[in-house]
Amino acid sequence: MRRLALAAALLPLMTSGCLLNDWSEDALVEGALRYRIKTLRILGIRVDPPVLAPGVSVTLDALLVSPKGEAEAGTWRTCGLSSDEPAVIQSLNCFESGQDVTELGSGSLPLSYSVPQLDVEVSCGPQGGDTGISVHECAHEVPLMLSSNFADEDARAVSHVSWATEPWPSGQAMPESADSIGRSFYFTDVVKPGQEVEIQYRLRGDVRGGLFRWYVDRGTLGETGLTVAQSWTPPASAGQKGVTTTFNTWTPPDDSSGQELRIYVVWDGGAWAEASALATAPDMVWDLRTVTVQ
Amino acid sequence: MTGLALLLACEGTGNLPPIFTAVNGREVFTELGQATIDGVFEVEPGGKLRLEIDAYDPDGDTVWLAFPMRPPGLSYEARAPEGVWEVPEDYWATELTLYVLALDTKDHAQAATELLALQIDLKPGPNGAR
Repeated sequence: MRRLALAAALLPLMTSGCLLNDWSEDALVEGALRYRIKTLRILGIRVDPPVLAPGVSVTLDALLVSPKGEAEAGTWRTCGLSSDEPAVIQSLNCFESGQDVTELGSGSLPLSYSVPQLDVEVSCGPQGGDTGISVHECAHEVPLMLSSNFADEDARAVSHVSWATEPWPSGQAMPESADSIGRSFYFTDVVKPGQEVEIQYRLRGDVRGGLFRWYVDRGTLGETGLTVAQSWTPPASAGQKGVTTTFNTWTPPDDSSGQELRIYVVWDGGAWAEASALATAPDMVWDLRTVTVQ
Repeated sequence: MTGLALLLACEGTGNLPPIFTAVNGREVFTELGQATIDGVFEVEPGGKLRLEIDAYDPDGDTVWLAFPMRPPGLSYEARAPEGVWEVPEDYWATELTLYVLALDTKDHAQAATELLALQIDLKPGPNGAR
């Protein structure tokens, strides 16, 4: 059950003005229809490797996009780490109090961060043995917030993460970020105003359960801003990974001739890898294709 | 859904969002602005599921349909009240929530919208294969 709860929590929903952190129908409509980049928005967050445990060095990265470009700096915070029992914090109010806020770092992205030993010893009850409880089920469930300012606009994003209270077990393999998965766009070379084009996005591996979020500067996405896998090609031979493909159609506006427009695809690899029960932090990956409309 | 639909209506042109009334003759209930439909639709991998979607717009605007997270094999016309899902033989899921959006304009950014979620069970085919 806990893993299921995490799967939902690992789907961060981000806006420039307000904070959403659920997988509600409101958020679905927002993702489906509000895909045009009109303000500074945080479209993706990644912790690499996707593990927050004492002693682990991670890279914090994010995709922050505005009509004026991509922001490249931000401040990372969390709250609730001082509890002596496993904390489950869904509300963002703890950021307001300031008493239990931990700043992970601030500055250019990506940002390196070494997860420290917690100041407070956390009581998690019996571990190992017959209980079947491993140390990584002893964790705080806390919000991880990124805030940024770019071109006079502010944006914030929150993802709930599982923050382990004990070091990562020695000898246990560290999960790889989804960023290591090969990905590519397939796109026509010629894009004309008002003319629909098909865009394929392919990933090496079986990620058929994945959700893909699309964002564009201008124009209309025929499949909306949310797509799922459309095909799966199994590996042709041992050692290969197969290919998952999703696609969208895009119609640039009639008045876009000569414009350079961006198309982003963001995939929540964390939700996919969560099935392994190893991913405890957001693991979103993204790709950009810039197109000059003829 | 309700909150967003109302918000969009307020922020946009003052239009009310479309209203779903039925899918394949099954009544859609709208309570507090939330559209729901009872029951589960069933289809086999390799089979076809026709969806006749009845919706209207209180302001008389044309209703457009969109299917976020459209599964492979689902085809539809944005201005037609129906879609057909030809489920691939090798479709991988055993159940699916199919989301349908009714929009009161073709422009996604400007539309007042209503969302309906259809629960679909994928039953094994005659040979038991998926």
